[in-house]
Amino acid sequence: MHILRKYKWAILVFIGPVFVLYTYFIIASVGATFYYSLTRWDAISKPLFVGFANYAEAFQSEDFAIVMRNTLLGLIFSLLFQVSLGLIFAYLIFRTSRGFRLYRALVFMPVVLSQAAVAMMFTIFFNADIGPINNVLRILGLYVLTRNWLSDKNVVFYTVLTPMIYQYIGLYVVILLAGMQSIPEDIIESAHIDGASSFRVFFNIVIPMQLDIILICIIMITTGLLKAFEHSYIMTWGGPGVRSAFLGVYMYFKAFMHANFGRASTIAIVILIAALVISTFFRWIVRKLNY
Amino acid sequence: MGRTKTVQLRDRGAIIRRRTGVLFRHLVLALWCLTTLYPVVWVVQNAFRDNTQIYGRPFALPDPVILKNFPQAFAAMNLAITLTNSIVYAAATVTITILLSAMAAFYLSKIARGNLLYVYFILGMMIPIQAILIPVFINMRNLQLLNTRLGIIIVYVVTNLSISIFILTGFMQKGVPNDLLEAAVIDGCGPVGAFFRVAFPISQAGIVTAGTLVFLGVWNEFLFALTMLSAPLLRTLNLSVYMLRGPYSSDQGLMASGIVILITPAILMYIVFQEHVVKGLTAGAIKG
Repeated sequence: MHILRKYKWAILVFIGPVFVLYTYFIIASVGATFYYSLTRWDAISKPLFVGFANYAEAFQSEDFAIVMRNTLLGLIFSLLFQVSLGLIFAYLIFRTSRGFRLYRALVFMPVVLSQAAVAMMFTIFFNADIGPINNVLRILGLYVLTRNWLSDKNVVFYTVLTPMIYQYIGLYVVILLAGMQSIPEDIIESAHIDGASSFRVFFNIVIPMQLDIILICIIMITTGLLKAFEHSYIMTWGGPGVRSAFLGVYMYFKAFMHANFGRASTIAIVILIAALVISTFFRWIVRKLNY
Repeated sequence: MGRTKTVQLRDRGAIIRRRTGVLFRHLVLALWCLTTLYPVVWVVQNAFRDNTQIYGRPFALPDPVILKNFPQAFAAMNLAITLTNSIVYAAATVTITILLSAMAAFYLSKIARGNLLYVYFILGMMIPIQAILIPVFINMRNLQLLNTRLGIIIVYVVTNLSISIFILTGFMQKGVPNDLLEAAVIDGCGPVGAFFRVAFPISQAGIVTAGTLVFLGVWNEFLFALTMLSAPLLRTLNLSVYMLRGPYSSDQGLMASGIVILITPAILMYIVFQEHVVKGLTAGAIKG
């Protein structure tokens, strides 16, 4: 606004403090992480510059391969369940007039909870001796299906993934619902008058008009999974070994358990680059869709 | 005559079909809501039971109602201290973050030419926390701010700046009319006066949205608390509930009541500020 622009000093007052804090702690830190990723370092002695050795080692390590596999597999399951269930429930709520606000409020509730609290809840849920999951299976006589959910290396990954998917479905329901509400009403109405069923309206109108919002959900799911920490850390410590670890947990262990800050920084940079590449790529598609 | 009758019949068929459709939708949605809420309900009901009840009949209601879990959890979590810590960190972070980011948002939405600075600040929303964790930890160690209240508050402020600048800039662009600012300047206000007397008070709704988001973010924060606060006297409530897992993992009722104590303020905030909380938590999705 031109009338305020004559006060040249305003930038110092309004932006100055934020700029310094943000640049020093966020932007410079990203640079520092990249530098540390090129060093061998225990955070006590001086960092030893080793070039890209950490990256080469990481990509050859078996643990890193398992963690990458977990992250990719987790991403596929999260996208599958959160996007499809998100769309279905958003559409069901969208088509409901009575109870609209109540359903929306209830479905969203887990999003406001601490991830640590949800992880603790599911730790009890999946407890092999007293947890209700095994209890129900025993009551139903399905003894073959009972597992040591939190320590059996074949199932532990899915155990940890369950609360991760559960907790945030509501977030995507609400985002997709907001998108559906922005579809002009007459389009849907005239489709119904022309005799289109709800299914046809869903697949032929709602989903195509929601593509950009679906892509934004995909970005949020991906970046969320890349930095996932609490559920895995609290339920299983990422174990046994790294069987239920994601990149975020693996990075923490490398730094604060193994004092290998160089390798940990390497993992952090992998997380950062993956997040940036995926969000820039999908945002680019969203822009293409919108114009 | 015959024609009207068939039309009526067809209408009745359509009405019945529509009614079963509505019923079906409500059934599915109600079932989904129950599934969503059940883990929380189960934990709440466990908070009022002891191990014998929980082990014996996992899904039964408390019988009799056990209240001793709560005082035991208070003691085990050092509640007086950890609750105070969480409240202090959240209150301080919300106050400082909102003030700083409202000022930045005012400049970015009303004074700045171009949006280069805006883009620079928003970049932080795309940076995963792990990408700054180690340098921030090292910086805080060098500044002797590990295991201090000031240190953790600084970390919480800087990690919440981008998103609240994003929310508030968007809000002020639409919510603060230029005419009003012009009138204030003509009446003798400088930019600081225009901000504190006009823009800030008018932006109340945006401030509540950003404020609830930052509050919940700090209340539920785990990773930085875990790495930066090893001193028991500085721990947050979130961290102390997690730490029940070790020594008290065999006492299910106690753990459940710890979880209930932790999630109650967040749920209350959600009930009171529902629209704001939803808007804040979904802010990242808007505008691409």
